[in-house]
Amino acid sequence: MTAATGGVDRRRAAAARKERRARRRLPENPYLQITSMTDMFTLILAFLLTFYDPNVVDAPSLVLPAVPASAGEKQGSRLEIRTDAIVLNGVRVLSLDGHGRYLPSTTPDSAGVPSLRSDLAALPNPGQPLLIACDKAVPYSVVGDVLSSAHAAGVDDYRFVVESTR
Amino acid sequence: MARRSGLEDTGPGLDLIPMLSVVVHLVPMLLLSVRFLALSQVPARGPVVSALDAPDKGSLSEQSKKVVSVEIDEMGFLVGGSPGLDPRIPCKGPCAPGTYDMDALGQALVTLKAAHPDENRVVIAPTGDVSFEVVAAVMAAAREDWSSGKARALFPEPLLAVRK
Repeated sequence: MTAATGGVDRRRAAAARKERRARRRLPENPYLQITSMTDMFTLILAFLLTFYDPNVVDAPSLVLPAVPASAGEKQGSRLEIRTDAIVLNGVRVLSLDGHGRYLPSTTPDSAGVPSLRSDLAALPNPGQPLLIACDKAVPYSVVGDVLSSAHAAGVDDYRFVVESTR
Repeated sequence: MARRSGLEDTGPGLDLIPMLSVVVHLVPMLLLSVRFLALSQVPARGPVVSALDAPDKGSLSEQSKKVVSVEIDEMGFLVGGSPGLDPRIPCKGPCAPGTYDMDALGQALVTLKAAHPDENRVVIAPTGDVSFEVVAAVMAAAREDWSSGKARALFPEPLLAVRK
């Protein structure tokens, strides 16, 4: 055995020892592999947030009628006729009795409800359609007064929001 | 001098654990509260002041032969616009949102469309006590016929009447 080959063997043996020592020092699973889980949750979160519609109010006082209607959506001011209140763009403008009927203090006239008329006349975008989400139990007399109020306030383009069964 | 551990030597990385914790809490919360709804919008026009309660009924009956209309009252539907059609469509039982005969109304509207192919408007005149569920169903039935499985336009411009 020459001195040169002996040196190479020693170096190889030292490298192997170093590798064994390093392998002993490393834990088998140093980190929780959360990358794929983060990916999955981020995708689910993005999906849910994309399809989340803040306009959909899931309240017992606002149950939309379900009818077969083609899809088609426009943006506009939103008027909710619930059984307990009329809400315009998120602001409660008129209280109802819980069954969609007026309280005794509300007196509609031939052009609708005066307070609602002034609220509708003050809408920021009168050119946009009025999106009316009406509870299915509300009597038509109240809906008719709302339409009369909107007409008197200069709003004639309205669309009823319904749950589509198609 | 204290020796540093191996973990500290890896350097300051982005700590994803708080963010992941938020996401893990947020996703089940959203999944529990989610309700998948397909919403549509039914455009309508009006209101027209209905003359259906006017005292001059004679001229109204002549007018109702020309105007396509659907009255909704506590006895059922009253369809106007076709002289050869029986105008009264009674409820299948005591009138309530589920007992109005929507199939018969759909057939009547198809007949009316055949009689008025160029007409796009239908006047819908409910009485005050009729619930909006029935009105919405009539508006949808007047706009489109789904009996064949596909939407076929009938009277796409419903006019809602308000009785004064």
